[in-house]
Amino acid sequence: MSAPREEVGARLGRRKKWQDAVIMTIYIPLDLKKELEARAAARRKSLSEYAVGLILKGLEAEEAEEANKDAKAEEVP
Amino acid sequence: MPRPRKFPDGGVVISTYVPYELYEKVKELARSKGKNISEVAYELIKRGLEASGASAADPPDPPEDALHVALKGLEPLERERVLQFMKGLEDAEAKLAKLGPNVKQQARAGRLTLVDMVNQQEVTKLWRTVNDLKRTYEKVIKRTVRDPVALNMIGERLLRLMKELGVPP
Repeated sequence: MSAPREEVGARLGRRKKWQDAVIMTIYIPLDLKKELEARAAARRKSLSEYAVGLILKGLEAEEAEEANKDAKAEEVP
Repeated sequence: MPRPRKFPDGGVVISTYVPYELYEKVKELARSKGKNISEVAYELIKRGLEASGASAADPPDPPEDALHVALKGLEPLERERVLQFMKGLEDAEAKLAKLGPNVKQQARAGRLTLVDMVNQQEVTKLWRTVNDLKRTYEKVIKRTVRDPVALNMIGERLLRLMKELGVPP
């Protein structure tokens, strides 16, 4: 019987790394992948790192837009 | 009739290593929009790209500029040495890109199949070239280029090549 995953992770010293993170798979067009790879390479980052940065930026933009919408809705009497 | 392709020119799956908190946010957003997580993440990436603006499409390369600035301060002979080294580095990068990912992996593992025997000599030659570049970097470039940004840029490019080919540091 194999050891529990956490135990194996801890033994390999990876527990901390995997504790608060997950692998997220995203289906994107091939062109976009190539573009992201080029941009990531220009910034000396991995594709994953760069994509996460963009997701964060996208979320910020989304939240800002939502806040704007709410503010406008409040203005309407 | 089969379902039409989501991306007519073809789609691929990329894996990203994300903090759990961010994953939860994306998941929540997907739930509120009635879409799946991948779709929402794709939209966010597109938005992120838009938000980063036109400057990101043509990313400036300050380390390259730093190299030119660093070269200006050098004596002609030193400058020539650095330029020759950079040319060697660029040639090696181009050759490696031409060889493709499979050959690189096999070079790292030190085993080649019959099909790849054609490229074996090229890989061995490239390995030696990068090894020579490493020596030149240690003996000449490190002493000549005093600007830390330029030196770092050259070092990183060399290190990437060494990693790809399995040249020991």
